[in-house]
Amino acid sequence: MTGFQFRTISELADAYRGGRTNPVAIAKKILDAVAEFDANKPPLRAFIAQRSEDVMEMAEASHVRHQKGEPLSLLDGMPIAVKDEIHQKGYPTTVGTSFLGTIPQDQDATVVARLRAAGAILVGKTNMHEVGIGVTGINPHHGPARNPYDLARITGGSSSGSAAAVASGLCPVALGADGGGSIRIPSGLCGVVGLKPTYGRVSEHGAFPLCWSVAHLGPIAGTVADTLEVYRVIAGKDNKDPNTWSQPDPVFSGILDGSLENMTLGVCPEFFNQADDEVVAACRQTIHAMEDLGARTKEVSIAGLAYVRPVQYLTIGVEMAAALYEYRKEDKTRFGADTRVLLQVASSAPAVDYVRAQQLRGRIIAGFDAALAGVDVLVSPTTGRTAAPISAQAAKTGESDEALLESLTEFSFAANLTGLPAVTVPVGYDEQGLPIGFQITAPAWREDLALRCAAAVERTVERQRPQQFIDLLE
Amino acid sequence: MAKSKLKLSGTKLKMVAGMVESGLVGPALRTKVMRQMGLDAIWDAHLDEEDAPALVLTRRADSSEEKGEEA
Repeated sequence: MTGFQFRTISELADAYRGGRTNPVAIAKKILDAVAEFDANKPPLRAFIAQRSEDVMEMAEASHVRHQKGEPLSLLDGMPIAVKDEIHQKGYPTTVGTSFLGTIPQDQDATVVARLRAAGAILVGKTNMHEVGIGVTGINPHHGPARNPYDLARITGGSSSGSAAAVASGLCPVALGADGGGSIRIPSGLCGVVGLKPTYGRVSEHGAFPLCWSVAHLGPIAGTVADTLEVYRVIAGKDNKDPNTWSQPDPVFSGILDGSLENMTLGVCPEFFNQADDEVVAACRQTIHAMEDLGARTKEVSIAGLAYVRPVQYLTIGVEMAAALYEYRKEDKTRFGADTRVLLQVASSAPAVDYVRAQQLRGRIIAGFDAALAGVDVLVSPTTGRTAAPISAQAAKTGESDEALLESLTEFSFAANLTGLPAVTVPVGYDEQGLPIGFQITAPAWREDLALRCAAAVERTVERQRPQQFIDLLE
Repeated sequence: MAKSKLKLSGTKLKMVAGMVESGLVGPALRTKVMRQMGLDAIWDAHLDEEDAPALVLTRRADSSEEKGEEA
């Protein structure tokens, strides 16, 4: 990896140890930068809420531990942001709406509690597409989070603010949530790394329940190493989430070695080529780079691809309509207009269609498992295109754009329906300097394989500095 | 790649939201969406009566196993 690099957890830790800076100075710098970025026109809007006193309190406690030479972990003093779909003590959880979260939470979600226990400075709640129902990040209530590579463009969503916060250098890592690509899409469009773990690998306790059968929490980070550091802390069993109970132990070793010897990459042309030419070309080039590192490529077919989209629409749509039923019963007009249309259409789906979608979902799972049986991972673009522009009208009212939705989600839905782990890593930039993401999907519980590939790819890519960026160590 | 091209924002989007919720165009819109997704054709062509609903909840994580401990 050459050229521009995002600041990493280990660099910050070294700076703390060497006395070059300290958690208090870093926390102040972040609070000032967020205010500055949001005062600009157009504003970045990575964050929905920041409680300065709370942030500084965590930073001061971390500073004391570092002064004593007793940090709690590598994450002690590391600024980490949390998507506003995940409960954090002291903050309301708005889920990107204008009306939810009138009362501050009194408990952390499990993932947040684990990061807090590790000493992280939780620097605020990040913006998101309203209730996670869209993938652009255009939020009419809080303003759209904007892409640090071009503030006139979308971040992607729904974890829009988390990706914007990381890509703009405000924090090395943020937490996201992914029901249909909501970690991977914004990570891909903002040129950072995003991991959607296996279903049941990371506790969902304390995440707003929106789409139970396809929902995943995971990290968004500037580098694969930082993705791994946070994944290491949040993964594993949680007695508050039964879906996590029977998982095998996660593998954390060997991931950053950089070797792809004996790794077989599965490429399904029917799947892979469903993207703009520039995106396909960059991802093809990445495969060649992986082959240079020892990987072999094998063409595969995936049964069931044709009905991934309708099955996902029915699954996530109906589950969200059910989750938000009571709120809609009270007053449908409190939601943004694009959310209202989608929730109403989903609400009108017959129960038979939902069950039939789950029947077909079994075939999709079998199709992906069969494709993965002969390879180690499946590779594809992360999105069908790079970041789209935000119109002035859409920024105010939200937008419903089916073509954009289809293009952004072309490659993401399958991992939600199958529960398979998938990571996106930046592999280049289009002619306008907008990031292109590469998705690696692994067998269930083999996040290590996906991350190992991502780490190797990362070393071959020359990263570019975002337009809106702060270097926390400068 | 993209079959449907509906793109709305501003007043038009709000108007459509109101119409859909009022039931004025709800069934028609649903029919359009379902037709675009080709659901009936998919069910007919691919679904077998022996297909059981996939329950990822139990498939990827068997909760009947011993309860885990919080890390």
